[in-house]
Amino acid sequence: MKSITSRLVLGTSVVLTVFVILVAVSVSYSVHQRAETARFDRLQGLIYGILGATDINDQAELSVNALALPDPRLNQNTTGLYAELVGSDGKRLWRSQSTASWLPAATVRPIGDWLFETLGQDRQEPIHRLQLATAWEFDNGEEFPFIVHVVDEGDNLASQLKRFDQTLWATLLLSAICLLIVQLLVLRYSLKPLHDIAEEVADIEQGKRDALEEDVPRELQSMTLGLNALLSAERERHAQYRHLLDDLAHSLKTPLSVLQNLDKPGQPERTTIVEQTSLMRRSIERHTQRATIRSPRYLAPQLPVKSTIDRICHSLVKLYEHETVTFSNTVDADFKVRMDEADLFEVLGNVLENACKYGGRDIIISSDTEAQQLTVEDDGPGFPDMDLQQLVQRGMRADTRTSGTGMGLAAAHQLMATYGGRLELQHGDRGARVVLYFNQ
Amino acid sequence: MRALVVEDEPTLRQQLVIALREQGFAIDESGDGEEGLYLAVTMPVDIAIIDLGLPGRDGLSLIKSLRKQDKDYPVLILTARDRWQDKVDGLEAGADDYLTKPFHIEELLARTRALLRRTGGWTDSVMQFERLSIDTRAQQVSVDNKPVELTAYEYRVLVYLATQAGKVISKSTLLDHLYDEDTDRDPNVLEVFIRRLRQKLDADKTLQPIETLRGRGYRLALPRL
Repeated sequence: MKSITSRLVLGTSVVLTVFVILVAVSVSYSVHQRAETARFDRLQGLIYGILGATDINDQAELSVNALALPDPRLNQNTTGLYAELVGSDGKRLWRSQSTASWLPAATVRPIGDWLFETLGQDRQEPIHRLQLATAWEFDNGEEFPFIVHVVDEGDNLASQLKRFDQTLWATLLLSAICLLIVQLLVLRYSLKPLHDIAEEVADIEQGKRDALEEDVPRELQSMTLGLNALLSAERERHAQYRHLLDDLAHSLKTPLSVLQNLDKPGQPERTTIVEQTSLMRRSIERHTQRATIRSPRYLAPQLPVKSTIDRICHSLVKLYEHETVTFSNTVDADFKVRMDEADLFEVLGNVLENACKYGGRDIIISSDTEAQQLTVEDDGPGFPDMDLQQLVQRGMRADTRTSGTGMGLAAAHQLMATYGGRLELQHGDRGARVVLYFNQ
Repeated sequence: MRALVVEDEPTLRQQLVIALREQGFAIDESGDGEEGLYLAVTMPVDIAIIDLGLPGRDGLSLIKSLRKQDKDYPVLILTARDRWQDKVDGLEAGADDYLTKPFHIEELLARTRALLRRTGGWTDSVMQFERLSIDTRAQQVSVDNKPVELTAYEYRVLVYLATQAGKVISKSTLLDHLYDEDTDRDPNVLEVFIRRLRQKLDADKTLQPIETLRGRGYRLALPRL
């Protein structure tokens, strides 16, 4: 499971469900217990009342004073509450006027024993009965054992309890749903800063912003500060790297110019100086270029291509003024690529200069924003009939007429590859065609 | 022609100065950006060769400042930075061409000539005026396709008048563009040069290449071909 939100939602939902079930079960259980106790107490009270209304004569005959009975229902011809006195031989000694829909037989028990039972659970209305095995003690010390048997079926406690259970479960379910919704809202609110950071990182990737917002909750502050420091250190490192390369190139190239120009005809060791200086020059060029190519900038911003092309074309017109080159830049203004600015300049500069250098007079630059594709087509003599891929290999040149080291297209090709794109040379309809496929 | 050279590496600067002098340029030189800017705006410069990495004031800012002060002579940048972004920055700052180090002096001289030619509106290294032609690459002057032997100073006077063809150039302006600061400038010497130049180019007085406008100066009056 990859989402923090779903983890939290799942975790809290499980906890909430278990909690609700436990609460419901324990509340229901204790209420049921309480109801049973209350029922026992009521029937016990009834038995004591009946015993109070009972008398025995010397012939050991039991009589019950109907008027003294604790519940008037016992004297009515109704069903529901029923009482009887049963002898130890199982013979009924007295019964109430009222009756029950069915009467289980009293069971003989040891004297002093209370027996509370719920019978007929399978019936629609179960009955509850309480029996007390007791004995009447005569003055002469003899005992007359009998059982007081009370049956109650008109008790609607069960349906009350059922209703209570239903209400309990419904209320708890409803509150669980409410809690879950509240919890989702709280989660959303609490995780918002994380979502914001994710969006900001996406913005940085797209070059829409430079750093993360630092006004974030305390818990995230060290992370955003750290990330921002990392970003700026990365940028600084990149710039520093470029500067170091520049400084290195500068410090080597200026004295090399001096050395190269010491070369005079007739001078002893002339060829050695020429050879060695040009060797040094080529090494510096190759290594600085390679170092640049190997350091693509992390989290490069999105750059508009059209304006960069305009600037390069403007410069090329200045440089190739006598050649009267014209550029038609039809690149979509929304066409953007993710690249370091210097690298984008390098790729476009090399490709466009190549078009001017090799005879192009009317150069058309077009784009396909959807496919992240840029096409530069000139009306020059075009590429020679050969494996065009070889031309972008280092140092290979299509002709030797024009000055240059032949590294331009190769460097552009390598830079494109570093950024996950590619450069393709094609035979165009009018001349040479270079297609740049930028990484999407 | 007067060239300004701003380069902080003394040996390289010396090489440039010597080579340019050999080509007949009067030179102003500096190894510092601030002094370079002072020379760039106060001297009658025809072309400036400026290194980008300078102490005092960097080359880009120097070029921007001199352009801001309406100096429109061609500027050639010398730079060790050969990345396109740097080239575009330099050209946008107001430079006309760039040369990446290390370079051969011959290449620099060729670029300098090309820039000066472009300023005069010439596309070829040969400036052609009716029967007179001046090959700036070979430093060769000919009339009716016959080579004319000129001294270095005579050649310089002619080339300057040719790049400014049609315009009246005062004696002092001509001297400014031909002589280094510390040289003794005598207008009478200039008159001698002009007279000799006329004799060499137009022995039979049929071409009349250089007009004298009394009290105002000289003008190369031949139509361009």
